[in-house]
Amino acid sequence: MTIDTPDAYADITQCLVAVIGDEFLLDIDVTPETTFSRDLELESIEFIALTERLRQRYRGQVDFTSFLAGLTIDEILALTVGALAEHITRSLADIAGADMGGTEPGPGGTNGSDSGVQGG
Amino acid sequence: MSRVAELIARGITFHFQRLARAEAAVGPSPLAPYHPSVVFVHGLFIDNLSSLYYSLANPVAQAGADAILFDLRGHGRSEQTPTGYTLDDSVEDLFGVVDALGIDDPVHIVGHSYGASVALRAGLRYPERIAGLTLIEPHCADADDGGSWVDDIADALTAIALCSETLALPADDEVNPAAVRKLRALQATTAFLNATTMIEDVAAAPRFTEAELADLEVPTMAIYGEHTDLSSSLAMIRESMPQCRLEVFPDVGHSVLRDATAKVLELLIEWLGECSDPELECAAS
Repeated sequence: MTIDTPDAYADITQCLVAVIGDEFLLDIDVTPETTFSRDLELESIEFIALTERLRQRYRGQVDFTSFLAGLTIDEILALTVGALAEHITRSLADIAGADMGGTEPGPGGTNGSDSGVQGG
Repeated sequence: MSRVAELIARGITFHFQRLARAEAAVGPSPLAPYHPSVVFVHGLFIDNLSSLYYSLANPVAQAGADAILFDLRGHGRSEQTPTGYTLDDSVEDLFGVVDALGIDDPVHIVGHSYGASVALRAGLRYPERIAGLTLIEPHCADADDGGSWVDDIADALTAIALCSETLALPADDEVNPAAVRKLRALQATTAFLNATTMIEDVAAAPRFTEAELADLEVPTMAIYGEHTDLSSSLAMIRESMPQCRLEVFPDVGHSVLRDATAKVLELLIEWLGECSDPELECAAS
């Protein structure tokens, strides 16, 4: 159930390219301190598309719904690449810990309830 | 650019999001016993599903609902069509999305601004398909000065469309790539207004009448800001819909969702619970 290479920071950058195009990222140095809103000028709906790609990347193992539900709009606007990567890394570590302990996995075991994607 | 959460309804591609509480999530889940389907409808033109996604939908999903958001036709990441932007088209699109998702039970609709007008029209047209309505700053009455509410919106859209003539990048090689992206997006949206019947369609919306509002049988809660610029709509709902639960928030205006998010959310979850609990008599019953 664990992701093979849980390099959340690289995954976010890769998904950013898919969402807004690499031509716009070429001249921007994306660091953990980079904010999605102010530095990358990501539109709200582009951030949702980014989250969607990450949901698919982690196959439901990262609970983005709970994460975002716990943030105010201002906090979401101030969100950094590093903070999102930290949430992903922590979620995957929790699952790995649960697996080691022989318990059921966390959000990843919910039959895609946090997948955000149905239909097609 | 990225298109990953799409469905086809009425022959059109809609971008949607469907959110639910993860089983392992911690914290209270007041709606979990009922797991109501809640469809969110955003406002017009510069709006898209993101405003409700960030403010209400994730917490409502976290509270135990099946939260569904979609971009109205021509908005956000949904397909732009040359025509089909009337209020009635939006109602049909809404239920087209619900059908495409395989939801047969009555849904609760949460609408914001123009999206609340869509929700209200949906309640009048298909009451049997709706478990409840939450209307945040709906337009339904003409302005106090006699101006039509749809004409007011159409005028605002026309002004935006005219702005496209002044949008251009400076002749500077050092322009920030993020600014370039933003400008292109703005150019695309204004071009959209000029290339479609959206303005005409909005202006052609049929008026809501006092009689039909009085007959609305769907449990309904309406939320306004005290300083709303839709005071005539607020008055119309107050006078014509005694069955409606009306909440007027102090010290805020039309942007009540943005300025009083936590309070709106608290009311919404309470209302969804009331409308879902068979033991309780909903406000409109």
